[in-house]
Amino acid sequence: MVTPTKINDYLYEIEKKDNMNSKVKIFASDLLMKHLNEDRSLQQGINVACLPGICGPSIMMPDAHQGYGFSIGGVAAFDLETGIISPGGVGFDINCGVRLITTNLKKDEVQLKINELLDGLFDAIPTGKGFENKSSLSDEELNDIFLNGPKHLVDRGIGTQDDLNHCESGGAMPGAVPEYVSHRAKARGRKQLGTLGAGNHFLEIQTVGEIFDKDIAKIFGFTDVDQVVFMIHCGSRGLGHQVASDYLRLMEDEYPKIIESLPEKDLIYAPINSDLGKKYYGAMCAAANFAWANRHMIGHLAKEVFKKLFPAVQFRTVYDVAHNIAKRETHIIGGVEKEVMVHRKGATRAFGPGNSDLPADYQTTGQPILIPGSMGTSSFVLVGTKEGMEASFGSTAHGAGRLMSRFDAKKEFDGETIRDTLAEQNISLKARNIRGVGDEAPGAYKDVDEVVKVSHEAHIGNLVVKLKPIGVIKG
Amino acid sequence: MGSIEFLPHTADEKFVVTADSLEDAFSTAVSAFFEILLGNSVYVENKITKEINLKAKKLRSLLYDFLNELVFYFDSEDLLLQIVNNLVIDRENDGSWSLSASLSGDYQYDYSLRTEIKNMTYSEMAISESEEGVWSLTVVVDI
Repeated sequence: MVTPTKINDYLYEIEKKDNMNSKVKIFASDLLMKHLNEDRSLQQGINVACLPGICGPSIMMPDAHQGYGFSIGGVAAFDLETGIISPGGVGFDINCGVRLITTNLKKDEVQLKINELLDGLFDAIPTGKGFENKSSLSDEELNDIFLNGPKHLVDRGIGTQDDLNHCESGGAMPGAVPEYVSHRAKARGRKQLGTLGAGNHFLEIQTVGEIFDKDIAKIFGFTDVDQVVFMIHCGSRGLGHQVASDYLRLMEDEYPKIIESLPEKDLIYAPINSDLGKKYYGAMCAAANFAWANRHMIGHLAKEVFKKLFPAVQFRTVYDVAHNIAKRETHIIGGVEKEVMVHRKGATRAFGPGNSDLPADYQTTGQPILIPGSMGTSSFVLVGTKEGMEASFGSTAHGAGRLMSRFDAKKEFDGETIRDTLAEQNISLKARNIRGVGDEAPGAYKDVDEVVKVSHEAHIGNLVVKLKPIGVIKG
Repeated sequence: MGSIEFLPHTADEKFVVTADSLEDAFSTAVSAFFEILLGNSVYVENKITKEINLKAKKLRSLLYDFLNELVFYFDSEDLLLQIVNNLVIDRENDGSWSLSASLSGDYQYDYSLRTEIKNMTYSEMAISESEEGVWSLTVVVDI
């Protein structure tokens, strides 16, 4: 049993000892810490602190919970010469993330047509299973998407330059190498561009519920309470999973002694500057760019459905964030500026004002951080801070964080009852499979309000607006 | 056919299969995989067959690769390969493992799926053989 030391109301630490190369820093309230003690996530935070070349602490976000290898909600930076890169530290759904798009519509007018809207969205956006007639991408198209992400689509008249500007890394990480993506990964992804996938992935119609910071909200494109927006949560689909799997297996075969010595096989890694490490990074960047193109495409399909029902509708992409990724970034560590490989697994980048990766209109505010709640609960938009740049490598939480197993959730909640409960709160739900909805019941998750409160109080991501769902599409 | 037991897992699906031979255990793991995807006692028609040949240094890697074949054919060709025939697992002289099998099934379009299996994982994977020759496999799949 690990007992972290309480530093203040929103921060705990586990000091460096034994074979740890750094300390563990945990952003949590007493309540969230109680949950952390119920699974193996603290031990996973310690395991990460033991990895070679870690720079600065192994950090756990307010929504941290047990994952494979690294905990979900785990952030760690590694030295480019002595450090490692790990598929399990990125997460298997490479660039799982969130895109948020505002409209000029009001809650009342959308609520009147909510069923037609959800039916239209449901038909336009395949969730990923049970669809036959999906178009297939050629190798040439896939390679262009690997290199250029959503720009591939903008070049073909789908979306605008503004959408690209309002996307983390402009929607295209420069390190992508298409040749490092296997044929199997391409085969899995060929028909998946513009699909949501199942599990906790969703498209949600939301309204602005509460504005915490008026000035920043305005710059982000939020005009007033009851403004309608929509949020897309998904990733790189089978393609990204296959990239992760391919390299996990290659690293396992390349480093047999290391994998046998690790407490969990999913912690397997390669040195950043090894051949395999470089290849994984090239393939991961390609998969990440595919994921940005995927959310861009889903956004486009959704906009077309809105336009049919509301011809005067206008859109603006607030931002698109990755929450499963490894990136080369420059940070100040121990007072020294240094380029490192930051792994964010189930954690959102949260850059403060003045960062060169942010578009011109967000230079003064800092980066929008998109935090989806669990199904039927509120989601939040936060903003990155100067303090967070040093406290957490410019990172914060990514969601509510699972509390209850799917197994138990299924026993406790049934999909149809949940749909009825949501309907009573004026939230419409459309799911490919209503039986699968029980697993994603709001009660199976931590309280997202508590998660964002800790982020705000710890100054690693400050509250801007609260969004309330009125309609949900699930796989 | 061996037996399947599903166990609680926070984010994903975990199961243990037990069987009288290694081949039967791998085959039963396929049944467990499709129970997650299709539900209990749902069987697909035998319309298309894929021949699988795998090699791996470790038995755990062989199991990982084998079940990931099911995910691969689901994503890339929309296939539900639930029916296992001629499954043979061999230990090579150098200690590595090989597997060959015919996997058959049907396209997914006419079946109602409960969820999507995104990938295999190594999490909590355990493979053991008892003194009586009973094999037990513990598997977590990412859903």
